[in-house]
Amino acid sequence: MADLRSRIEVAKLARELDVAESELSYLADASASDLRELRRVTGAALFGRHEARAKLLASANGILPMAVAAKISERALGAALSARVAGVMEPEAAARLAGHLSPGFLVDLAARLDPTRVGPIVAQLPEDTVLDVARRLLAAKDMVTLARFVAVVDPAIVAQVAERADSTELLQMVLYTEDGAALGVLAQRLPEAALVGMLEVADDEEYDVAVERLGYLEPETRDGVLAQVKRSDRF
Amino acid sequence: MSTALERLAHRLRVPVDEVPVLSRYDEERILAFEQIVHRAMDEEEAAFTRGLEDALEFVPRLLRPVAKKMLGGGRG
Repeated sequence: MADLRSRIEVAKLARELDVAESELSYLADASASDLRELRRVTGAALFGRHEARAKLLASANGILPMAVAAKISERALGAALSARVAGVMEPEAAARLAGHLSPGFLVDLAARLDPTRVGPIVAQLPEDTVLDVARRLLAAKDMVTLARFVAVVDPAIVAQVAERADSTELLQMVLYTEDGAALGVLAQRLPEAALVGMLEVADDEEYDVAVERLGYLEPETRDGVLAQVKRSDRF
Repeated sequence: MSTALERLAHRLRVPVDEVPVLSRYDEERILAFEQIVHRAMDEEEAAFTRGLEDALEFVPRLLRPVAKKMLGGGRG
């Protein structure tokens, strides 16, 4: 079977292209780093293709009352196109617009946003809004989207949400988070019991990748966590 | 050099050597990936065209000519 890291990358690429993972399963024998690069190139091409139109819509938002711009986002454009537009908006304007969007739409939007482009927008959103969206994503078990935002959301907020996740959900979040340093900051804030529980529900392959991802933890914390993990098949 | 790979690189607007991961696959699989990318781009194109038209319906009447002029510039 293909490496878990590669299968995770295929899942992310499938999401980018809005297709079932099975349509891209043959790619899973490539290395995770090559697939990450393919996803980067593909994402840039998709974004670049309609960047001019997205910028026009962003400009139009500037002349409209925010309530109207929000209605256009939700009813005319939908989450996918609105995410493209958000990627070219001034952070201040985008944050103001977000204040007029319904919580449900913000959740749909989060799943479509490119976190690497919207970090400055997220930074300007009220903490309550970010927390509410994150909790809704957790309730929907959309751990892939939550994982994508670990690097751009205030670690205190991410930790609040991660503490509410069960062991399996937390494991998914850790496996899908790309930014190892941000993951280290998150893990440092979580109770050791949460990390131990997460490793105990992992299968062998997930365990290896999760431990690798926890490499950014301070060595003492990491060793303390690993010492508490009870895995009958390993010890 | 694979024709399908060249086509894909052209669609992604990158040199062929920026997608080395795909050179390991046969023409059929590269073509399949190229078609998926093509479909994603076409669907987004159609969604933008539809979205721009629908957006005007929500613009207040007084602002509609200005908005139409702004958004119309992005067609085609």
